[in-house]
Amino acid sequence: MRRPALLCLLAVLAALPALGANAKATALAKDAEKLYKDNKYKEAAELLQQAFDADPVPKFLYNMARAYDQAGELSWAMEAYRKYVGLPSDETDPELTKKANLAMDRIRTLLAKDEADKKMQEAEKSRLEGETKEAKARAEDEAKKAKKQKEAFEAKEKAQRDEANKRISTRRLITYGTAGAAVVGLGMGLGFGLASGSAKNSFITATTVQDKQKAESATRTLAAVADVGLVIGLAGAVATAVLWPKAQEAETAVSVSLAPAPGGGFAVLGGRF
Amino acid sequence: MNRHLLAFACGTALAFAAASCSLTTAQGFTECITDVECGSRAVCSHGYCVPLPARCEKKEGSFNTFDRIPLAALLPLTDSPDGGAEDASERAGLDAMRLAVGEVNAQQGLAGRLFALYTCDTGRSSDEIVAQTKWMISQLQVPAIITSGSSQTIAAYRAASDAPTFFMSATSTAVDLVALYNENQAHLLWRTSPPDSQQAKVISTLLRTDPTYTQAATPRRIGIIYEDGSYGHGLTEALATDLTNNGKDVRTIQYDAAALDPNAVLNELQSFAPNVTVLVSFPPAVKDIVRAAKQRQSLTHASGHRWAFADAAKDPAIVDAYTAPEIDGALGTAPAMGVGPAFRDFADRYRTRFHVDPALYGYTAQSYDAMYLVMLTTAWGKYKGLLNGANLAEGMSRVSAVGQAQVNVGATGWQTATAALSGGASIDLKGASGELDYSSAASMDTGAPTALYEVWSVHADGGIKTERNVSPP
Repeated sequence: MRRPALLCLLAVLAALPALGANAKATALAKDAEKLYKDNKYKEAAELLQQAFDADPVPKFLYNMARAYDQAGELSWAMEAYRKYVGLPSDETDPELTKKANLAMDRIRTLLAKDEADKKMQEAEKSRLEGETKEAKARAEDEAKKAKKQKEAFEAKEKAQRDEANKRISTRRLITYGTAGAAVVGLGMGLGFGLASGSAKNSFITATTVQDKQKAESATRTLAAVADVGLVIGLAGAVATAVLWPKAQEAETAVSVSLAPAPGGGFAVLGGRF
Repeated sequence: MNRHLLAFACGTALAFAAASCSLTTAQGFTECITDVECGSRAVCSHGYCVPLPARCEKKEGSFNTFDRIPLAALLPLTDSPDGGAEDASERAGLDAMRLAVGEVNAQQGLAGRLFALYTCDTGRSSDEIVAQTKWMISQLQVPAIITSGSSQTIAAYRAASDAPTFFMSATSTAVDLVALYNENQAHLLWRTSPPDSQQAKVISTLLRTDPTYTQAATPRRIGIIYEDGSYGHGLTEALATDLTNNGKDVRTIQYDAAALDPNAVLNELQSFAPNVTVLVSFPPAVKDIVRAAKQRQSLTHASGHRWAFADAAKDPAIVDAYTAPEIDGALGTAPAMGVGPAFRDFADRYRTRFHVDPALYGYTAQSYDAMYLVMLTTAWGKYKGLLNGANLAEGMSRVSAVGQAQVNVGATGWQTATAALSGGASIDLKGASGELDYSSAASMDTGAPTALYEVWSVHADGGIKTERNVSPP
């Protein structure tokens, strides 16, 4: 489409001297023609504006409109076309006036479309911005929820861990207690058992009934205490043997659990090694 | 972790093994049921084997029954706790007691409960008899103890002041014992020989009237050598008083049995120049003194000096080749042996078992009677429900009841006597040594029977012969 327009413009430009335009305007027009040919439409339009300013030849105005039109500066083109069409009809070429009107119709349509597109784009942009904002708010909300859940989970985990630690500590304390009882009981059994044996030896070597009665009484008392200690010690030892592995097992246990997090679940790996 | 558990388990097992000793130490406290299980040197008391003190032994009776009735005889079988010379007279008295126990156990004892006689040699030591008395009471819980010799009896009686123990003596004759008899209302101290106050009168009469001492001339100066102690003091004092009251010049010379120096004694005696000297001494001292006196002209038989003896000297051991010329024909006194069937039975059984004439020694019949009296009083204790010293002593008032059934001491009368006493009745016991009359007023005040005395004589052939029995004047 541009080739016919170019031919038209060249024809217009060739006729300029004949029309008596001044030389500056003519030079500017020629330069504009050259730029136009080089597809430098906007520069060509500016030179034509200067040419028109120097010499208000309608054709300069029309050509400026065309150059703007080609440059995509539709508003400027529309303005130039409108000025051209607004010139007195005797100063303008009817053919160009017709073309200008056609061009103005086309440009008007394009501008309307552009306007509509622009509005649509703005609406779309506005919609997208709203959605983005909404999504962002939702995300922030979810993040807050997730954070809360995480905190709750961590608190729960901590509570469970504390509870577990407490149980472990309690079990360990009990184990230590039973072990202590076993040691004390067996120590008591051992000590009093030896003392009982010594008292029994005193009984054997005693030479009077009274001494033997005393030694027997002492032996029985010490042996009874030793036996009590022995029973306590044995009970403690058995309890310790039962509790000890559990206490140690709990201490080295590994726990894996899942908890929600923003964007998905997360795993918690805990325990003592 | 497993290593810790293993170490803990090992520790537990070791501690348990060590501590489990207590499970066995609290057992085995019943060491015996009878004496036999404790061997020859220990007795069974309260289920325990308790070693006997030194110089004590299980002498006669049942030591293999759990319910035996323990009785003790603490006698000076030797004259020193360090192994002195044996006192044959005491040994003879102990044999008489053993004879009695054997006879009674052959009769099934007291309704099936047999007697067990534990004896100790006191060595004439007060410390020894005190310790032995305490042991017999505290360890063996004997309800009755038989002692010999006044000093020893007093020491033993004092040692038992905390426990009501029945004391019986066949040879204790000292006047001091009367006070002890009356000291406790339970009258825990009894004897089978009359008190020395009576013997003193018999000796005094003998010295003043018997031709052995009056044939040449009536003796004016009379020496008395006596062993320090209750027996010697009591008899010497009574004798000296009686002789003095009868116009005699008396010199008493005391010696310590544990440190006798015959020459020191005889120096004093010789300075007194006695016509007759009475030895209130035991056989070992008698021999030593007579032997030493033989070296002093004024104290020899040839010079006219004569010896007389109290009951403690009655022992053939005083006669040997060296002493015989000096003491041949000399007289002595002692509580009389019985003359009735009870004595004959006793003497026969004694000779059969020990092959010795019991009349050769003083107090054998009294010892036999003493043992029987103790065993009989257990029948009264059974009636009272408890065999303790007080009940046994109380039983003494039931054995000499005039008008009750007469029972001779010995195996044949045992069942009758114990049946009566166990049933709460009384008997009139006739002893081997005599009537055993405890019912007279004098006896009731002294705990000793009224009895005859024998006059015995020494013969150069080593014999002791009973000349006659006399009543105290």
